[in-house]
Amino acid sequence: MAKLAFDTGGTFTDFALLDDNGDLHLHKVLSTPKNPAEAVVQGVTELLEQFGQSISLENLQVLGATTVVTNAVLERKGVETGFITTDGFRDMLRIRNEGRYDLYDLNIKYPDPLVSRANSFGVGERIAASGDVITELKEETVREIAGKLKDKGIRSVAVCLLHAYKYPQHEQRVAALLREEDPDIFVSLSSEVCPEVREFDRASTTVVNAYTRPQMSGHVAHLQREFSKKGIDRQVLWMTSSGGLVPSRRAAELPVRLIESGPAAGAVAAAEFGRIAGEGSVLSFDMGGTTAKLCLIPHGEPTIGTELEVAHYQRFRKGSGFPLKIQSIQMIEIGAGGGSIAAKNPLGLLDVGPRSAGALPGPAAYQRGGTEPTVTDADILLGYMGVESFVGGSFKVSKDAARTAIEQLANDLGVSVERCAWGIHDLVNESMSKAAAMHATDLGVDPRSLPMVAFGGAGPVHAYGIARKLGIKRIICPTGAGVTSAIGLLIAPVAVDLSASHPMAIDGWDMDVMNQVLDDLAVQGSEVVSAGGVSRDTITNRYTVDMRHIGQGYEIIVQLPDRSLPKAEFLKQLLDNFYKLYRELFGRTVAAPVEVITWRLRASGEKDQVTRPHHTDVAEALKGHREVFFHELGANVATPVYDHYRLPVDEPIQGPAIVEQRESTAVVGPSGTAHVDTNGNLVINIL
Amino acid sequence: MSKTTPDFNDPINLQVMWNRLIFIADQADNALGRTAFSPIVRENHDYVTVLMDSRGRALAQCTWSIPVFISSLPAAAQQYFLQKFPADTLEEGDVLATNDPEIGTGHLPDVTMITPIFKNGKVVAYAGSIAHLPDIGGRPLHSEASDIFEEGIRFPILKLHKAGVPNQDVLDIIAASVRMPTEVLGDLESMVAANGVMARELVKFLDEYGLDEVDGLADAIQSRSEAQFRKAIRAWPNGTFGAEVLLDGYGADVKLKVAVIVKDDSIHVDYAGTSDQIADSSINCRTNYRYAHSVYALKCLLDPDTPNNEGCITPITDEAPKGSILNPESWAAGNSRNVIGHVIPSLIFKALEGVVPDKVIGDSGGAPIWATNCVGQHDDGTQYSAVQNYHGGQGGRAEFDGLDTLSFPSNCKVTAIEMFEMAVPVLIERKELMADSGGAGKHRGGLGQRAVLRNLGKSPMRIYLATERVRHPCFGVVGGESGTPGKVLKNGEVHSPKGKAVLETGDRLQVETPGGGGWGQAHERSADLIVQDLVDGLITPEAAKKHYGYTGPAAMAAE
Repeated sequence: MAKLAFDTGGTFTDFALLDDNGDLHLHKVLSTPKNPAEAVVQGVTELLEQFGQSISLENLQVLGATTVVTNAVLERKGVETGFITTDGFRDMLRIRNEGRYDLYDLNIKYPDPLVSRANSFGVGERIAASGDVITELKEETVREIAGKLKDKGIRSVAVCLLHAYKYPQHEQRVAALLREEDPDIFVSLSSEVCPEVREFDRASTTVVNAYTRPQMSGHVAHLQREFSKKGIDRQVLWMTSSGGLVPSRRAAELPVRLIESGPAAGAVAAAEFGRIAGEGSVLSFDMGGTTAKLCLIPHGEPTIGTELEVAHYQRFRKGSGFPLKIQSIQMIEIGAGGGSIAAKNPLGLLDVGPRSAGALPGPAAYQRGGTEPTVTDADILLGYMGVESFVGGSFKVSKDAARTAIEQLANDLGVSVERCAWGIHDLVNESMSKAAAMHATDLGVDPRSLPMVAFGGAGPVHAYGIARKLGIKRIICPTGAGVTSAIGLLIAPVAVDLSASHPMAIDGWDMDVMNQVLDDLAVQGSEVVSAGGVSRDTITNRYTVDMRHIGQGYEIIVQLPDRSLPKAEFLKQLLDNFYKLYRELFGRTVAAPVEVITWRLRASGEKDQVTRPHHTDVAEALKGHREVFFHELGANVATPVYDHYRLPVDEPIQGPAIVEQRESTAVVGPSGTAHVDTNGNLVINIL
Repeated sequence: MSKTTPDFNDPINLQVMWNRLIFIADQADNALGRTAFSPIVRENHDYVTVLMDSRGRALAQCTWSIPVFISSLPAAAQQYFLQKFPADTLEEGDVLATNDPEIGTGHLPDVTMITPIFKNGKVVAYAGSIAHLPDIGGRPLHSEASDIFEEGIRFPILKLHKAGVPNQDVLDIIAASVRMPTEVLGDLESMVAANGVMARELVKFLDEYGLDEVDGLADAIQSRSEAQFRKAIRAWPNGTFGAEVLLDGYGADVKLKVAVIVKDDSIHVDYAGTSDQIADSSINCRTNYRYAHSVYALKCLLDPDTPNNEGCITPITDEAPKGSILNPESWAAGNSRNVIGHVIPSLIFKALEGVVPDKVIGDSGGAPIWATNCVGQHDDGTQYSAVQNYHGGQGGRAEFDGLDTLSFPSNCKVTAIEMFEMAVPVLIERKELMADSGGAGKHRGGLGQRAVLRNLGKSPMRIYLATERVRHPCFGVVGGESGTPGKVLKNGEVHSPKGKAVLETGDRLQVETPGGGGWGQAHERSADLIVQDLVDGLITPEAAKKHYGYTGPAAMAAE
């Protein structure tokens, strides 16, 4: 079956087409931020014009990753939204958790809630922690609010009642009453979007969903219509933050789940590139213009976490954004990329970021108005990135402009230009490697043991330096490093992650209640995954539970044993799993009672494979030489520059060397040797 | 990696190496937080990890902290630990610890622990941590006690581990004296582990850079930070700047009085004129706790960006009269010293409103934290005990209104209502902002909150309260007005804000936290902000008229 993947990004929309013959074609068009669908339609049209004859349209599956949801939140371009909660709690979105994300800064702020206080309402009702109804829903209060929403012209509403994860009936009734008043209103219920305990996180998640839903619904419907015109009738499948694909209908109803759509696709691709390179666990490193993402992929499977944050008021300051409680691939985002600006701080020391020149004005070398020195400028000045071959030569950059910008800073700091450029490059590597070390040790893994999969425009440029800092011995730079996320879409399975909070102590365990909770999840999962084209009998259900000692504040995610086991054996295995993981994470166990808080299901179809044998060209791979600075050598040296696509399989290249692709450049330092493997990936080994 | 000794004055080297030291402290922070058992350590992050040089001077501290921790570890190390146990009395695997409030942070539940770090058989640095244990014996944490001996057990500086072997006698005594021995010993173990992480990582770092000691690097970091701090002080005029504030205290008002003396490139803070210590309440605030808050307030104003280290501390000294509530006798009770100590930053800001009007902020309703410790028996007879905090509004700022309901100067997140209702048989009936509670000003204070707790259990619920600012509201600065004072009501009747409230089944306790003080004259407030507040319902039309003289159309619309 042919597959066509698109990944809408900030600057480019990337495409990967797998045709009926199993051949892979890559494509890239400039994004159209005002209406992202335009670039998608353009790219699809171009690909079909070129390769239409090797695709049967009726079987073509289109797959998408998108920044529509993220951008709506970041740029606050969602719709005016209403918020309904239990009476007495309408200020939940403003009160937050009462902590501060910076101890010394008296001027911290948080992003304004996406719903104004005037559009926040309380309804008469109350559910206890036990799930018992303490106050029945006062329907007249709901009708009154419905009227106000209609008067204000509000089309989308988030409903989050206290303890609704345990007793969703009141929320469901609220939805019905709102629809009676306005049949077209979008209603997002916390018990459906995020049925988990902790009201502020759940409300925050539900509000982001409501805020972005009309826009995402429109985007999905528009694309579906456009594809239909071309004879493509299958529902588009969309990448969620947890690395599974879901059908259009679900994507339109639960857009919050798509908030890390592109990065998740990148992690899925990195996992696959690691696997075909014969590696077990890998560290994925994706560095672009404004941010970098690091993701530990143990044993070929990215770790799914449940905590995420978006729209930080202070860039990348943890705690300064909107918390989202959704399943997402655990990765860390670092506020440093090619566009990060270098400057002298008040102590007279060099700082890189968090300010970024972004795509506009961009690095000084782009000559589009940027004058401050950026990481890209340093990389150009050091010779790591060429000026002729930038994005395949289609993009003119100036080394002189880079030098002028860095000279200024070097003078301020009282160091040479080379020292300053190297300092910028090295400081970025230092923050990346620290973040990687923290991320890996967080998950209980020693980063030195891991190979790194490096992609994104700047990933392969910095990978060598970061690997050396971390003690990593092997770097894999995949082909198509500029469109890696699109390739990830071709690989990803149709999958959905569902959860239900229903606390149960081991001491009061009830198999029947457990089975009912899990069966409910399985029915929902089967519905979504089969709608994505997977036959029901091939769906794999994987159950996990969030567990902790009673009285603790947070949980660890534990595999659930086979539920057909007898109760005693089942509980023994469950506790074994819990203690084993607890010991792995924390180095010890504690003698205290244990409970389950949340039940989770990942229902999934099968993963696909995209293997592409490397076609070696007889043409000369050596493109020439250029001066490149290597700190280990303490000087600029004339360094050979190779074309990645023309390198013969397994032929060793001794560092120092530069290996260029169309959209990215790999640096092989003096301690490295490199070769292209049979799958076309550049593998760098470090002594 | 280069094996030649790096040049510490190179601006890039220093930044890279300094960042790494902070990272090492953060790694230890991570290890401590994840292995700790008690909620107070994990949820409220009531702990700290610090790397110190061979002289016990602060080198790097974990990024997350609360004010009390910014100076207490190095002070304890220099003044007490290294005096009692000089380097030549230490061997590898030793771990020193004490919970003496005079040495540590001013109350018994905080344990201060220091581990020497060896390289080539020599002590080159110290790893330190402080954590708030869930129990330390004596009375449960609240504001009533007559002396320190009622508040729990105390152990002097001793070797908790000797050459890697735990001192079992001491651990047994601690375990036998506390209510939650598993959690207490577990948290102590986490501290040992965290110090171990710092020791291991620092040695690795020294090996990588070919260094045999850290003092040279420490000098570079501390002198650069100190120079920056002193430069910032020199930008202030010389002079003595005073302020005083009245607090509810316990039984009678407490006066805090300050004189901030700026002289060239150093600052001395004198609390002469402050009230005497209190005999029957544990709100006495010891020297180290007071000093930390003096330093904290000034660092916020002078140099909020530099990562904390000794260089940010040394330019500041302070003193308070012996026997005063800010320098009590050694026997005084001090468990809830934050009730008084948290107000110090606001007081110093007030004193400096004429010096740096654009930097100071109004008095905050989070000073102090309002703590409710709910204790009793579930219907099935099991014991519950859980603390929920409530915060008032932050003071107004030169550029922005104060944030609503914010932990300041401390920094403790609150427990989710749904989680708290699982732990305690309570129904939180409402938790909402109080319109008009923020003090008026060009930028008004943040709003306080109203929370109502109802006992759902069959047996009585005892709530231990430590609250303030009920008679004395949060003041404004630079011409800003006061916020509304706090209030505690039981079943609609006024209740004492400190001590114990007993709720029978169905009884209600209502707490109303104070609003923050305003910044600047109310008449300077822009009409846009007034209208926005009216639209959001954060002020009423009556208040808009009374404080701002505003009677415009939006006020009508909002009515």
